[in-house]
Amino acid sequence: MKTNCINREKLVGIPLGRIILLLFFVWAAIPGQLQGAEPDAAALLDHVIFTMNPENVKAIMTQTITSSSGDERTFRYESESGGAGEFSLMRYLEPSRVKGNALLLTDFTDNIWSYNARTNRVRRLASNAKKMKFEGSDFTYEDMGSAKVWKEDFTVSMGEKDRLQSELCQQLILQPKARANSSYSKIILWLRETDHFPIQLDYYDKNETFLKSLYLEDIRLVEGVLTPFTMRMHHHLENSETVMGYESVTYDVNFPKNYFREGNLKK
Amino acid sequence: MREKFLRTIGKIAAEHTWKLSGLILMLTIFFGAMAGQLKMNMNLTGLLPQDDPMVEEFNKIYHHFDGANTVFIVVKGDTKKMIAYAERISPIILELESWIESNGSEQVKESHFKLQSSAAEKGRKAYYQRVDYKQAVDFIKNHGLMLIPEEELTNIEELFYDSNLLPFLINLNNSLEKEYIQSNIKLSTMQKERNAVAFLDGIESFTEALQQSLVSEKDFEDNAIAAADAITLGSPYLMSPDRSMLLVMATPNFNIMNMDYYTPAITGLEELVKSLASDMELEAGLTGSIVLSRDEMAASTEDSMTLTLLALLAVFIMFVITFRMLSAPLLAIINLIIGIVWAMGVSWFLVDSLNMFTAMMAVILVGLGIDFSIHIISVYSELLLKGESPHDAIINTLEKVGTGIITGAITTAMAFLTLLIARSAGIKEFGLVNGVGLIVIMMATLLTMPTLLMLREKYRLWRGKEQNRYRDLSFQSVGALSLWIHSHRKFSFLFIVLITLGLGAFIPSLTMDYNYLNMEPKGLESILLNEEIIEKFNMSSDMTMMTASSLAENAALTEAAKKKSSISFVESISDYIPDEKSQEKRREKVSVLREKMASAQTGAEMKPNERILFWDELIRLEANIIELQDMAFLGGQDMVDEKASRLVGNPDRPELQGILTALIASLEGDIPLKKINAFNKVFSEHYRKNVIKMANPETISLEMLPEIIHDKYISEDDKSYLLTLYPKGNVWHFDYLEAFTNDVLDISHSIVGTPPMFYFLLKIIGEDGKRALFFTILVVFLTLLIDFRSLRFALFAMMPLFFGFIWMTGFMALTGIQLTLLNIIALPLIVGIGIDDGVHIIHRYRLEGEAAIGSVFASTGKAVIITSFTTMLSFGSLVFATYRGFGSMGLALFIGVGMCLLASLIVLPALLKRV
Repeated sequence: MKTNCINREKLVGIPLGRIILLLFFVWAAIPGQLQGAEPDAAALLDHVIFTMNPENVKAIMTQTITSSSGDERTFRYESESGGAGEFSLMRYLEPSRVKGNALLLTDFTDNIWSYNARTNRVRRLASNAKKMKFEGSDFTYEDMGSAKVWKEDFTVSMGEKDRLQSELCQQLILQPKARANSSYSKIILWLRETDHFPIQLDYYDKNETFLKSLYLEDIRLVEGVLTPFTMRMHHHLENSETVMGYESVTYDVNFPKNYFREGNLKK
Repeated sequence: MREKFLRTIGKIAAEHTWKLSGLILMLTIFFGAMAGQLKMNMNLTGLLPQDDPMVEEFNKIYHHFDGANTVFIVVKGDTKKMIAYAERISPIILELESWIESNGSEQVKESHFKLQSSAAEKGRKAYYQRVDYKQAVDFIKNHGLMLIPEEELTNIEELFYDSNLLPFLINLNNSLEKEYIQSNIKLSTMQKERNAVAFLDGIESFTEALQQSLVSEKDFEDNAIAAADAITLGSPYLMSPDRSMLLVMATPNFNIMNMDYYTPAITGLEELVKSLASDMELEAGLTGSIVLSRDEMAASTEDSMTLTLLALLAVFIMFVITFRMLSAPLLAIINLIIGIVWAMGVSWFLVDSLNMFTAMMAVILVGLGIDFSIHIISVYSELLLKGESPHDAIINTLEKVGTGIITGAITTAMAFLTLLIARSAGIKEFGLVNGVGLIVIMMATLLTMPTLLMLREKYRLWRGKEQNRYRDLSFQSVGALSLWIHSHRKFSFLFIVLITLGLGAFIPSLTMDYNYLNMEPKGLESILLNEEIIEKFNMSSDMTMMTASSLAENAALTEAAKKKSSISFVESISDYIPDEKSQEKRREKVSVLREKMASAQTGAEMKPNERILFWDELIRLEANIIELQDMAFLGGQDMVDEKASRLVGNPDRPELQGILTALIASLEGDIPLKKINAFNKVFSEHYRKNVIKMANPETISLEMLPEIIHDKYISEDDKSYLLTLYPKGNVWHFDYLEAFTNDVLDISHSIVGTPPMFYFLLKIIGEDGKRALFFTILVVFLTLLIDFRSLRFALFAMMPLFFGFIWMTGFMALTGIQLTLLNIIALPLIVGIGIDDGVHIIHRYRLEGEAAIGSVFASTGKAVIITSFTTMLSFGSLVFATYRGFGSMGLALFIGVGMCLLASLIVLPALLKRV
């Protein structure tokens, strides 16, 4: 009651229009999420795509695949990505058996090229390979590609706000358009409320079955870019898991023009 | 009332000893005859709830299908010898009876003739109805192309354009690239992986045959025919990708429940398998669920006999040492044997056979039943020492200890009988036979032990011997310890609490060992061979079955099963009779291929300028296989990797040279045209013939299926179809078992087989264990309340159990002893067994009062220690069981009884002051 009295006293004598204008400026200066206003789903998706796909990346990565029966396989490779995820080149470093073998993904994984060091041959994989498992892991080639395709091939809508491991998250729901060449019926992105960085992606197959989840963990700031050092894909139906992790990563890299061409795979 | 009844029994034993002896003898002969009928049944089916839909489905499948039980004959050694072995042994298996009669061991012959005479009335059937060791080759020869899925046929159709060697090789490379190299989808499931292995196997045989034709002119015609068959028909045998192991599957005319057949039909087959293998310089053995069941039955039967004797011996020695006399322990053992015979006889009325849990009932009853005699002998000798006559002493003994014995027996029996609430039939029976068995032994002891003691007195009198000089055998040191605790109760209680908290802290880390192989006897051949099958074939012999009511449903289930990553391969009639739509689609293409091949020329001679082309195609073939191999290596398809290694080597194993690489190296660009053309002449003609025959566009109908396929997959009433799913991994490892069972349940809920049954059994037993523990505590407490008619005394009697239970589980966790499928049942049992010590002490305490606390513990404490030690020794003998599951149960009970004894001796003196 006392507070109200004081406010009323202070407001006396100040023109109402000026007060409204002042309040407008104050409101405009506060970030959207603090205002409690509903953020736009499309804008959020743009933010996610921008965050998840830096222009150029060069990294050394490990990939550990654990099958449902507990068998484990680990690979180490060099990964290069350009054009904000449009191109990716992965060259195996370990085990020695496949050292030098490489994979090139272009046009947002529409084209996949495979290079075998033992035969020194380059092969283009069939178009349906995109939906297939990447080297027997729980990732498909489609998962390995750029999030940019979501913009064109998926419709986006806001989901619920919910807690995920004590973190308040905003769900973003992606559903493929009719013409999209995707193996999913729905992808749910869990964006943490603080910075809208995705920490979990849930994938549903064409029968709407909850198929797998990608957990983005150990998120660190590298050269100003938020980077999940561990990406863990758990297949709920097969009870298998693939963990991809960075050994080292840099975004301060430039690739020459035509670097991501199949002709360069043999080099 | 009870005291009066007990005095009457004592009086009868003292005054009508001979009459009572006669009655006991007659009853023992009667129950002994019943006990002789008890059988051992170690099947998992007998342990599951009998109203469970899975058990009903199991019985249905066994009733309608021949192939539901399979004995796997595993042969190892030289490839050609293994094939000859399979061809030779198969007809003998179908007439195993004749082989046994002339070559079987005495044991097998005896059981065979016994079974034959008893089965004569029901109509004699051969032990084995079918033997599978190769595909239905004739059927594939006549319909092969109609069985290939459309997409695959499109990818490999070039293979059927031209049968001449050079175009064939070009087309083989084109097909390989289309089918595998340009799409890893073709290796995405186990079934596809298996197809790739078969494809590579054909190329391996083709390369071998070509190589032999090029190095030697001998047998080149046979080699060319073999090469053509290898590509068109593939290997018909169930051979591992590295060709070092071959499987022969024998389907019995009996099922896993017919244990009478185990010795003649399983052991008899084993003798045949090993003797023939030895003759042919091969190794061979048996595996499969039914073989494992036979092995478990043999191990548990042997364990049951030897461990019961071991337990009796241990108890006897313990008795002699503590009582420092020979006759009384001997009488106690005789009494115990009589009691066990009665209990086993009664068990035959209750259950037909003993299962995995009840197999050791005799050992458990030795441990528990001996206690009654100990209490009687202990007090009887004390009273004689005090100068009472044998007549009075026996009457007073029963009056003093009889109520304690009855209460102790009832509380322990109630703990067992509480297991009747379990869902698992196995645990229910365990509770029933042990609970009732204990009551029977208690009744037998109350009648027999006084009678035997009186007989001994009469014998002494007859022989004119003096009455035994009994010594004071009470444990004075135990009495002194209890007095010390009693007078330092605050300190003692603090010590007890600290120990309890310390051990209790470990309880959360107590884990469950779900690996059933750790329960099995070590080194069982059936288990080792199954593991070898898994390694060589990526497949386990522990199959799971389901049925479909129509061909369409069968096709849908087959497709769904083939997509599951935990399933190695699916046997289904859909592989021989595709649905009509698919056949319609294939027919046109198959017709075109037939016409194309019919009009193709054979025996086209390779020209000198084509040699380089031929060489290039061999190099291309090698490169294609290397790429397929690397793709398989990255994708974890080990069988394909292994198979490809045989053709192109393996960078990780430089010593291994692939035969294709070796062929290319041996040619060094120089193609021997003459030899190639001679090979081609036969090869192209035979290949063409095969393809024309296989490209039969006729729609396949059920009537066209050969009997060997029909009987395997279609029920006797032609109403349902059987699908058999083979797991990829070892189902006895829980993580894999869970993944496999979930995959199978995802396809259908009407499933049957050892893996899902074992999975549900584990789940049910876990739940049963928890429920039984809760109810046992409740029942034991209510029994105590009725017995003592005092809440305070009932609670005091529960205290040693409370502390002992915490100490036991804490100690198990501390020492890394895990809970298992069998020892989890020990937990509710400990409640029933561990309560006895406190009951006896409190009974005596109430009779003698607080002032006599030292003598209560010196006297009753002695009996409690001896009974606990005998129980521990008896349960401890289970540790020597070959069936290790019994060992895990024995160890848990050993620790539990020991901890409850310790708690009785140190917790009760500290508590009783407060009363």
